[in-house]
Amino acid sequence: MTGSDLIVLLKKQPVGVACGVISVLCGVTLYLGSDSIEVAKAKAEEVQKQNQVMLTNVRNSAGLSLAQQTAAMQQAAKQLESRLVKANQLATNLQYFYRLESDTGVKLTDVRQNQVGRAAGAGLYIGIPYSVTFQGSFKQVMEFLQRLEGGKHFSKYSTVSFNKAAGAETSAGLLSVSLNIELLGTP
Amino acid sequence: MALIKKSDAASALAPLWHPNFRNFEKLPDTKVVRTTFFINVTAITLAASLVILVGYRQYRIRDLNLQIQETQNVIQKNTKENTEAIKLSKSFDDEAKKLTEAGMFARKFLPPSELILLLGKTLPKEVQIESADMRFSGASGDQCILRGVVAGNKDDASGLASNYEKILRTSPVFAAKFESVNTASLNPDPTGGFLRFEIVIKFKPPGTEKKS
Repeated sequence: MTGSDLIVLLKKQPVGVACGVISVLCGVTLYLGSDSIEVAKAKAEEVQKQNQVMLTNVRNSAGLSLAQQTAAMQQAAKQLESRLVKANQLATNLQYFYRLESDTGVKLTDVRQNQVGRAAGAGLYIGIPYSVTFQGSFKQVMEFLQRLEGGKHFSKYSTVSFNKAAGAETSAGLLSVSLNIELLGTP
Repeated sequence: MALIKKSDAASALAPLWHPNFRNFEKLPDTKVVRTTFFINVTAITLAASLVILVGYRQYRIRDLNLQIQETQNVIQKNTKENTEAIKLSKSFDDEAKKLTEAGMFARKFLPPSELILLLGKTLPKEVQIESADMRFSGASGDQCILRGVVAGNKDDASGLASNYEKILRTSPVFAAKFESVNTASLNPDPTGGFLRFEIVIKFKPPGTEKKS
């Protein structure tokens, strides 16, 4: 088909040729931008999701007064930290047991702070181990244990051994208690 | 006649012809509906459909872009508050982690003082506990070994020891906390008059105990 043929065709079918040209242009446009809607949709969804997360964050923090709750939590954590034992403050740590001794009336025969063995991947705090041996009446022993369990420091027993106290005191109904206990603390 | 006949026969064999000088391209289209009409209608329909399709797609893209823009404006507006909220939330989590750790550390399945008091409450008068060794690992394997004596002759004392073991095993207070209760040994005391027993109590792992 030569140029003159095309001109003849154009003159003979001007509408058809024009529509054909438009169709071709539209086809090319559709082909070239075939995935543009999908891309825009994906972007819109992504932005929407991000927005939803942000709105949830903002709504939750405002509705539940996150600032107040965080402040309360910080206060609680501060109180918690005041209850922790510091492994390097040996005298202060042992004083805790001596004070319990004087408060409850038991007789401490041995109290030692043992070597701290921190497990790999452990948390923020460590358990500082102590070996404590004491004697006392049933009531005194119970009071000592209860104060230890609900006392200032967080405690966790490893072993506890109750025995009748040996020797002349046996008749007095004394108990001998050996315990290995950990107090929550920092190195 | 012969000539006429011959002529008739010849006309039957050779068809009539005449030169056709019509130029079909230049002749007008005389159909009822012209071909050009069909071509134009088809071309216009196709072009119009494609134009509408392209237009619709462009409209959708524009609409989506507007949505994106609007959402981004909202995001922009909330960014500061969101950053603040995330910061607070992280701070909250950090502090909560400390409290959780302390709570887990101090979690007491059965405090020794409570166990001793419970044992005291359920102790028959013929049974005397001389020692109690407890081991707490925070996991399974926690146990208490009770050592003591039962008064009476061998027959009676063994029955009492068995009953005591049953009390420890079946009492609702203990059943919720003890996984197993077994008598490890029951021997006559050389000095006579009573039997020595050793009962091994295994505690339920923390978190699995039933509320009594």
